[in-house]
Amino acid sequence: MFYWLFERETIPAGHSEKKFLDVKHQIIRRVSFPAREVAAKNKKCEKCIKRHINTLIFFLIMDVDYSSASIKINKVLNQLDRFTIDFCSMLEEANIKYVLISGYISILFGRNRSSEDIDLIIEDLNFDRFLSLWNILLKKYDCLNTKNAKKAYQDYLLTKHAIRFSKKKEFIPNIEMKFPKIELELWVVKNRRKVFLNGKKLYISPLELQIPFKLFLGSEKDIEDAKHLYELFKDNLDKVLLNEFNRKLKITDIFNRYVK
Amino acid sequence: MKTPEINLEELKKIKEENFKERMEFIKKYADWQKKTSNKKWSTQQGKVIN
Repeated sequence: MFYWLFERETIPAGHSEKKFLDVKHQIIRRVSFPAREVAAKNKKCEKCIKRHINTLIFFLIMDVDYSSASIKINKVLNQLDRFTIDFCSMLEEANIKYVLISGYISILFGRNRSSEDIDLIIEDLNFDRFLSLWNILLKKYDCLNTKNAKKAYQDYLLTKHAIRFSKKKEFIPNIEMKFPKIELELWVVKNRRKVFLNGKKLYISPLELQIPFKLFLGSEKDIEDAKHLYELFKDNLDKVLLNEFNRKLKITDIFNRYVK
Repeated sequence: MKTPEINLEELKKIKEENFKERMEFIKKYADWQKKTSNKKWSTQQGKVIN
């Protein structure tokens, strides 16, 4: 029945058959049955179910270490990972506090979809600090909104709009960067979570907020992202915090219906 | 952990504004695509899709 779970393409190179068999029971218990149940409930096709389960299997076999201080993950990097690591290392170089939010977090942890943009929030900066950052970024990136630093700062960031950066002479993928606008965004910058992706440091939104917020956004893609993260990390999440955000965002019903 | 107060109306407004910004970006992207060779834009697209 689950023979297709063990097709070779789902096994990362270098993993022994023994290790593979060791996780077999765990996979069936923790992934296959609940995933099939949910997928069937949502009337997903067989192809979607297989893809979803394969993602989860890949994660289980992957090297992931979740602790209160950080999440460590080792995986084969994709183009979006490399693009994000590169951009965030420049923010670090400029000593800017940032947090990655939204869809990339699901992709980082193995969701099988792509995105043309990476959303992030940076701490509020005065113009001098912004200009230093701008000068660092423009060595490798173009700002897609404007070529003028003052305009980017005054007409976009200060008026609560995002600015986008792509690699020079390219358009996609790009980074959508903004200042925190509301209390929730200030909170997420303050309470960002450290991730080591193949040893490279990134900061992401706490999953206890990320999952409810995806449900608040509410498209099918967002709900799938939330489900994916929850399935992966449900044994590690701070359930009190998660439930509090569910309550405050008024999405407890959606959470119970699709995610739990 | 202390969590922030959440104003749902404010969040909904931000959601709408983000959508509007994305629509503007798509327009900008399509404008760029029309004046860019297929080879160039599809190479960039390949980096996202593949």
